[in-house]
Amino acid sequence: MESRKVESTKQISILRRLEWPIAIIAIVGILIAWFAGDSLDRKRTDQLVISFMQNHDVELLAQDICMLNKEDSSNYLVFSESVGYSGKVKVLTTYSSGLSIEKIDIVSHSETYSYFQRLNENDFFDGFTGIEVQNFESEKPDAITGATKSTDAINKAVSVSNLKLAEHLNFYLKNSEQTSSFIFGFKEALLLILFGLGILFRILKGNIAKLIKWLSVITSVVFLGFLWNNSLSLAKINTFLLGFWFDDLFYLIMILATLLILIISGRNYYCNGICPFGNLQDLVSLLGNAKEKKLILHQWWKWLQRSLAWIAIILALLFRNPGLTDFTVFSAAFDFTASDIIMGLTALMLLMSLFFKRFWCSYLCPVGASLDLITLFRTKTRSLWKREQS
Amino acid sequence: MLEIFSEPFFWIIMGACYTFMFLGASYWAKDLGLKMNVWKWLFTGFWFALLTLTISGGFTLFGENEWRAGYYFLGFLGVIVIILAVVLWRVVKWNPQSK
Repeated sequence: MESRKVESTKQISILRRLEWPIAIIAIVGILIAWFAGDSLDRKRTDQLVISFMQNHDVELLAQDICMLNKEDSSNYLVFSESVGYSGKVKVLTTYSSGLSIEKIDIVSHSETYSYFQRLNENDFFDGFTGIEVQNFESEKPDAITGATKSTDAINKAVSVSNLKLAEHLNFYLKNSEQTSSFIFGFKEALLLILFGLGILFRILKGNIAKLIKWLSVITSVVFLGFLWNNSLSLAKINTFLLGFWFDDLFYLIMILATLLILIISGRNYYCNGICPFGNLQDLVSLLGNAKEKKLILHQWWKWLQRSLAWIAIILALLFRNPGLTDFTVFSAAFDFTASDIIMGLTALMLLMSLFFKRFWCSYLCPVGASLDLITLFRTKTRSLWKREQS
Repeated sequence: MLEIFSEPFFWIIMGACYTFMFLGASYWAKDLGLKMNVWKWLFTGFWFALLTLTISGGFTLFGENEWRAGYYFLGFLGVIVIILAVVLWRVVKWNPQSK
């Protein structure tokens, strides 16, 4: 028994010593995947364009604008892109010579499959046919419930196409003001309040602290979870890493506030106080009177969690598709939209939290694992700086 | 094999099991040392009804070849039933007089 304990302590100390070099390798790997993914994406788009040009009688009029010549008519083709739920949505809009939309084609997208499927099921794409460019802003198809971000992104991309065509053909487009998604509303305010409550919880003690804790738990589960389904998923981290994060003020605040507080105070406020699934697990744990337990080989499980997160990020960056490897359970828990495996995993995690406090967060969540990496860099930098000072 | 579920004999056995369960419930509670009252029995009854509806609803969907819907029904309500089972156990074990 004693020798096993010594063996396990030895293993833990070896793992601790390896943490720093492995973290550096992880960062280098992420950088390599980023650049390789970018180069592959450019090649893929170029090949698509070249093969399209070769197979059709196409005349390039300006950047992103072509004329497709057919036997009896000709169409304008305009290429544009916008940012959806988890990355770029590239759209090719076909206009008739009378300047109405004939059809739109999605060249590529990285939206979650089950969400995007709803657009086909609701005949969303047919809604564009026949709309005149001048009337697009008032007649564009309505957003589809449950896939609002994706429908908004496609509508926005078509609006950009209209603008490009109007500029090229030199006509004035009515209602063409681009709406900004940087709107500070109730959602953003509530998010800031939740971060504020997290800070207050750390400062205050006793019953008030408890009250604040449960107030933020319930607010987060109800609003960020069931009403809005807005949590920091792996897809969101990948979206941020790929640079598509300027489009949504809510997530920008979420990511920047989490990082800022983590770097300044070393505390992960997001996972501990704001994440709706973490809080849902806390509620289930309260019902089951769960205890804080550690699995056997706890450190090895932690490394497995980090490795899974790292592989998922690398693949997402390599294929420039933020949602490709997202195995987080948040959508399954709050929106009931996910693959069967993820739905099963969600149910299992909720049941586990009856007996283990935050089992998902401790052993599987890629978001926590990614934030751990930042904490590790912070700790190491601080210790190096302190050594330098002394 | 699955035809057995549509045989009247199966449902007579099932009905008998339910009758024994209802009749035996108070003896089980005594054997387990639980101090039951009206509210605890009501909660237990509610939970048992939910459990029965979950299983019957899920398997009805399987029977109608709606496998996916059946799995989702069992999965979603099953999780709720299990969580409520843990809560129910804590409620029926709770005895304010022993404090």
